Amino acid sequence: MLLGAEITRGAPIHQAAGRGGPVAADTTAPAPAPGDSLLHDYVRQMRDSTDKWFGSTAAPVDTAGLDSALAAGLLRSPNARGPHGQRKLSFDWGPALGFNRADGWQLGASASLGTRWLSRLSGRMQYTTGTHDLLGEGGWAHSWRIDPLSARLGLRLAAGRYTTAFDRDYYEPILTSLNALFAGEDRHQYLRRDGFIGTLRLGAEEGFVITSWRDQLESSLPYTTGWFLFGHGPELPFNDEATFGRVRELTLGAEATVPGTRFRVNAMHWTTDPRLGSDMLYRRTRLTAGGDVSLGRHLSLVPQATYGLLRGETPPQDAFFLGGVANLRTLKRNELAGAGRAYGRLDLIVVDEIGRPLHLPIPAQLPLQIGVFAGSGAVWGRDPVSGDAVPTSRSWPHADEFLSEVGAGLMLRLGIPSPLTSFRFEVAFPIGADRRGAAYALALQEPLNLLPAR
Amino acid sequence: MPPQRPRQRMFPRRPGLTLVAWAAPVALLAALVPAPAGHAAPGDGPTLAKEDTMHTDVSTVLVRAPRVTLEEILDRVARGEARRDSLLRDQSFTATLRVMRDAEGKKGPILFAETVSRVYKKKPDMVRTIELRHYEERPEKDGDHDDMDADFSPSMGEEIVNFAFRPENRKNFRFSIEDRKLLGDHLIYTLAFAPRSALAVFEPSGRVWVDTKEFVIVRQEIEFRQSPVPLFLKNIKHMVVERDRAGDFWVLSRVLVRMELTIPIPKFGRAFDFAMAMSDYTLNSDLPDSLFANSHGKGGKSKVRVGGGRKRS
Repeated sequence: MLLGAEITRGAPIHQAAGRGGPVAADTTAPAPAPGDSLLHDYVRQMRDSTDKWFGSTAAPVDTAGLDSALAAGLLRSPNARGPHGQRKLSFDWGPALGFNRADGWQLGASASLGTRWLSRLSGRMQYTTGTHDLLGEGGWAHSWRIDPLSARLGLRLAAGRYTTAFDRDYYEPILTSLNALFAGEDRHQYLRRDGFIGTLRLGAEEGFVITSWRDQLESSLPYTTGWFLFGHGPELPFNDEATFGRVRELTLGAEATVPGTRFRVNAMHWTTDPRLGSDMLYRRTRLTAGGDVSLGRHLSLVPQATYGLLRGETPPQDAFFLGGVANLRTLKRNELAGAGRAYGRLDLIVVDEIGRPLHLPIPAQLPLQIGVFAGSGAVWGRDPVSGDAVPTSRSWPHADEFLSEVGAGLMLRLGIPSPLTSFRFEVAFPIGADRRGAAYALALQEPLNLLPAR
Repeated sequence: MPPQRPRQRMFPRRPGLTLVAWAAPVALLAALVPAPAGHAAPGDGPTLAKEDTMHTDVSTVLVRAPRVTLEEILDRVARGEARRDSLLRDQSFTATLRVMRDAEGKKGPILFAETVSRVYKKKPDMVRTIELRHYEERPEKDGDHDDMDADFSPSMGEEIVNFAFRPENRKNFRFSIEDRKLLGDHLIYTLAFAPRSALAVFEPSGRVWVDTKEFVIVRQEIEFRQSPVPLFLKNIKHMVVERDRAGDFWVLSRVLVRMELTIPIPKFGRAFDFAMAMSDYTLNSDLPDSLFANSHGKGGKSKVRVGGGRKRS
């Protein structure tokens, strides 16, 4: 092994750099050993073709003055960051807006402060026009690299007051707010949480484990806002009552990739008990699995399934919901609730872009994909009169409780926030004789929407 | 292998074919002379000339050694890359990060921003970056340069080169042998790789050139079937990752990418290039720890921001 070996790239300049570009000739590389010369010639030929393709982008750097800059840089403290000095902190801020029929407008701002030593401090403050209340939260977050595991350990501590939805599994506040504001079609129920939450997460490429503890007071919110931007009277002119009480809850969770496959399994468990100082007693468990199987280069089969069970008390804010874009399209969003839920879905997606071949008037760069799907799901442990979740000893639904559907859809892949995220337009048809009818759904989601985002 | 025996005669001397033999070049010459304007030559367009008079006989060679399988090549590449990493104790190099705007404009790529740094790395997790020069076409008034910021990882693993071949990622890609080339005593394999998942149309595919003498990757060309972020990024037209020889090691020398935005940005254009070049490597020179005082592991992954955003105080 050669110690202290030095090389200087000797690629010739093919084009001058652009206006004002500090580009100059490079020095000549030392001649390679004779046995390697053919390889070096071959590599150089390919490099020359790269130079030609990229033009002045590939030109070598002008080395004039770099030696003196390096000498000066080495004299500075190792902790200084270049001639502009060390960056001490970063500051971000932005609006924090929301809308729902309980709070009305949530108007405010959020800010975060990042420092090398204090990590990230964040805060949010909002005023609600419906309940005339102040919402706010302050948090601190930090993460550490765990090299032996190729993982990262993150810790977040936060305290404050905020509004959230009953549906603990699938709630997207931004799109839900837009739906409530523009169409009044928000079908979530809301509650208030006041208190502390701390989360510790160890994440790696193959999966993560997570634990969190929260000590929060949960309370109901009134129905205050009967208008939306283009009309009056939202689809649900009420807000369900949440069970009032202090919740001290421990969360344990994990997710892993099944070895040798592209399937992931996610397991979450929430437990609260009077012995922990909580006013409630329940054990909530959710298992989700999903992945994709390629059928050649153009078709992808995406199976996914989720199972949830609530044991002990059944506060409505901890029930499992069925219906809507989160799972069964032919039911309205959160139409059914219960102490247990099972749902599975199978998508067959043509991954090729079909917009251009079909001459559809959509932006050329947005890939339009097409697919068909079938889904089936059930909830159990529900009061047939009130529709609320009630305690059950059953761990699985009866066969006649399953509701099934098939459908087809178009997916306009936007790539935001994840590369797989698509704007989906789907038409679903119920299977079986019941009061459901054909339904369409608009959603912004990934094909594997049942699995939580990583 | 026996020596090749090329035929001595360009045209076989067969009676009665002499006229044909002379006619052929004349016809070829006639075909090359441009036809008068307005008169299209018969069979307009290029003509494929096929050489059918030169032949080579190569006798069968019995090869007793089993052919190296693709799986074995992949294993050896992973081991070769790991071995390369394990032998590196420290390194320093000059890194140039460059953003060129209007990459496909009439004037060609125009330099938008460039940062030149000297980077020192030492195992296990020490890194120090000294900025040597920074250039911006339109510098900010406060002298800050948020448009392009580079932090280097302490790792010397060069994941951008071998990401598809890492044991933890290999199951996500499908590999095939495209070509073999014998160059002196180096056998170069060209391997193609593509995402195994049909759903992952936005993930990189491409080809790598592997020197099987050491089983290290010497070059990589990457392409994307669809843009990862179609809403903002129309496509990634071309991406090349090159390595160069530094003493006994192949080291990352250049990463060049041309991308096209969905919506052109005023004074920046639609197509732009990003280039990262590493040169003047010094390897295993026993860099002193004092060079890195209090900078252990503070560098993140290589981070480049274009277009600014956050304000720093």
